[in-house]
Amino acid sequence: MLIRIIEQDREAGLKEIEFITAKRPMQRKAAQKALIFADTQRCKSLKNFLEFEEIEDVVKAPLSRTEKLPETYTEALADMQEIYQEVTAFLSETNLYRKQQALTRTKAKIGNFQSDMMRSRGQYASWFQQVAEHWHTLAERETNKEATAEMVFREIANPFVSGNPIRPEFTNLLVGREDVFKLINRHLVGVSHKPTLLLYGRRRIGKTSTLLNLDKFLDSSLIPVYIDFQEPRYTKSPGEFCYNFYRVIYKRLSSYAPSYAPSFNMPSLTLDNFKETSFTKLEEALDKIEGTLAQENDTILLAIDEYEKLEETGVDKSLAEDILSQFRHTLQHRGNFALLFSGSHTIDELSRIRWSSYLINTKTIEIGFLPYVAAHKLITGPIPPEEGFDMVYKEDTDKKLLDITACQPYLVQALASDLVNLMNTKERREVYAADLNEAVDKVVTSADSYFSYIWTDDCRDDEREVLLKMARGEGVNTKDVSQKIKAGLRRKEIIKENEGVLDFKIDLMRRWIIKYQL
Amino acid sequence: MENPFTCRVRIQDPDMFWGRKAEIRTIMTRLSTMQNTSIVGERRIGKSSLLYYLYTKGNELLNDESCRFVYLTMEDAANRRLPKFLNQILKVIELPEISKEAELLDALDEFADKIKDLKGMKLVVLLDEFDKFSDLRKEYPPEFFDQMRSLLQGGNLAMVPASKKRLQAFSYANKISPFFNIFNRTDIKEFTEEEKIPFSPIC
Repeated sequence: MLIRIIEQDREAGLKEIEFITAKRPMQRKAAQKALIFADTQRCKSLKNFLEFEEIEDVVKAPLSRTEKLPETYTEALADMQEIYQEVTAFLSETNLYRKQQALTRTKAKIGNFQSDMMRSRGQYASWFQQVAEHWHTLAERETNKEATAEMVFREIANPFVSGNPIRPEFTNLLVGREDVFKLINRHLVGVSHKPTLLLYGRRRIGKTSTLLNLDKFLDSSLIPVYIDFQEPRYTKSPGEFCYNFYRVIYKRLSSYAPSYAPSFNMPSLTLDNFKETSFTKLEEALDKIEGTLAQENDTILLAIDEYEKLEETGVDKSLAEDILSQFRHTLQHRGNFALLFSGSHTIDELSRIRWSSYLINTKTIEIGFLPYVAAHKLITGPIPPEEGFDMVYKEDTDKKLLDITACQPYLVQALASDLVNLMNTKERREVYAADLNEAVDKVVTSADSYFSYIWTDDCRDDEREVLLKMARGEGVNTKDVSQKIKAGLRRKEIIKENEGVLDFKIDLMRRWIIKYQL
Repeated sequence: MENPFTCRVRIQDPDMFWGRKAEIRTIMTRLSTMQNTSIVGERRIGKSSLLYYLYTKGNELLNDESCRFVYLTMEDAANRRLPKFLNQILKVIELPEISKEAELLDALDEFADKIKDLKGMKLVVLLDEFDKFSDLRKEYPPEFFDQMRSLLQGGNLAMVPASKKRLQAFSYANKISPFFNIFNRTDIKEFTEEEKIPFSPIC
């Protein structure tokens, strides 16, 4: 009778138990047993996880708040409450990955519940074991459902990086720069007079990425120290330059090897120490490091990014010249130091400072578009398939992607990234020509700042005029354009010549001009 | 009946936010490797609501507890002073403030040191009303953008600015700062047909 009441209305059943407990203590245990039986029956009757909300009262409201309850029941209730919470989290989660995590946690909790009930010797353990087994079956069904859902579509991983440099932790994304690293090694390792090196390339070509990865690819006797001249601290004052210059070397060597620790008295060297006779102080500090470098047969490679910052009008010219004098002196008198400048201008293109009198014997290493094979490897296997990149290029879309970007590294990464995002939105991993065209439309906008910079800052009016004609499809003959304009546009890697006609080297540039300049 | 629609103010409750799935996917994918995105769209198109949605749901979407999100708007008068702006960011990561009296370049130096030393933490600045920088050239000199460019490439800091105009429209002496070419641009336009469905009248 009591079981029927509970089955129809648990609240009424609980009240009945309270009444029995108070008025008929002899029947208390029988009443509890009836309620536990009814509760476990309900738990066993659930058809799927969605029905868990129907047993909210069972897991949240114990049989009695005052009475001492059987130990097995209390233990089971605690387990069931945890499972209930995980099932609720599983049902509310929309992100596939986190949904799977919630399901894994649910299954673990059900496993605990099963173990606890197997161990329990209490009167009701077998009933709860049956509940645990039933819930285990429900969890397995959900696992199968999730697996089926995954077969429908699992997002393609998108590891591509555009805009930011490729840091060493992005293992496979820096490709096609083996020649650059080889050249640096050749110029600096095992030679008595190390030349100043200039890593030259247009913007967004991968210079900073190369500098940040020197450690991985250079000879172990070279210790790269990355210095970013974009940071105002290097061009504020002689004191600030010397202090920060020394500090960055200190930080690098401190983490490089313990043998360098005695060479430093950095903790006692503050900015104030460098304020007077700054460059002399710097020389004294470098003397101490030089000894250890010679002992260890190591060379510090000062990798100076954005070196043209010294050329800008915002930087005091005499400070810029003092800094360059310091570099010249370091290179001439310190055999264990080497210099690698990096920028998007050659020394000849700069005019405010007489660079050639400071950077003597400079070897330029040019960094350009990626080799085709390397770029192809990048877009087809940026990470191993087991890490989630399994996009499939159909209709030669891989080759078309590389053609349209001309293997310019920033654009390759940007277009590949937009393409993966598009395919994830479409929930499809096979890329067809129409998909690529759609991604191309997107990348013309997402890479807007790249094109805009070339258009506004890199090009002169007469060059822009030629490019507009070309974009309009007016067929510009090579012979109709001055040598100066052609040379400028070629140097900026914007044009190529094709059977006497000028053409865009990067087709995306043409599309950008059509979209934003015509 | 309670009217659930809002106009003229950004949506603050993420449950009331709708659509922009493709844009959110793009921005979050980039943020997963700390890449920067510039959001561009005309006024009242929903840029602020999108930024605020990212602010409230960013951690969940990124599934990365080490990442902190800060929402700042340049409309806020307090942000028109550089040290105050930097301190708003530092507050989120519970770092000591930079002195309000600090020289601009010193403040930038101190800020840069703190950001470089985040010890495993990452920070995303969602910066609304970026266009206002046009009126703040004196308070935000070119060195600010140079320093930010350097930090935004370092992996600890990312920025998602929202503006009506393309970022390049903002320049010093007709020269585009290289600061702007580290951003990938995402345009916010009208809802797609699919996104409009819930707002359509029921026939």
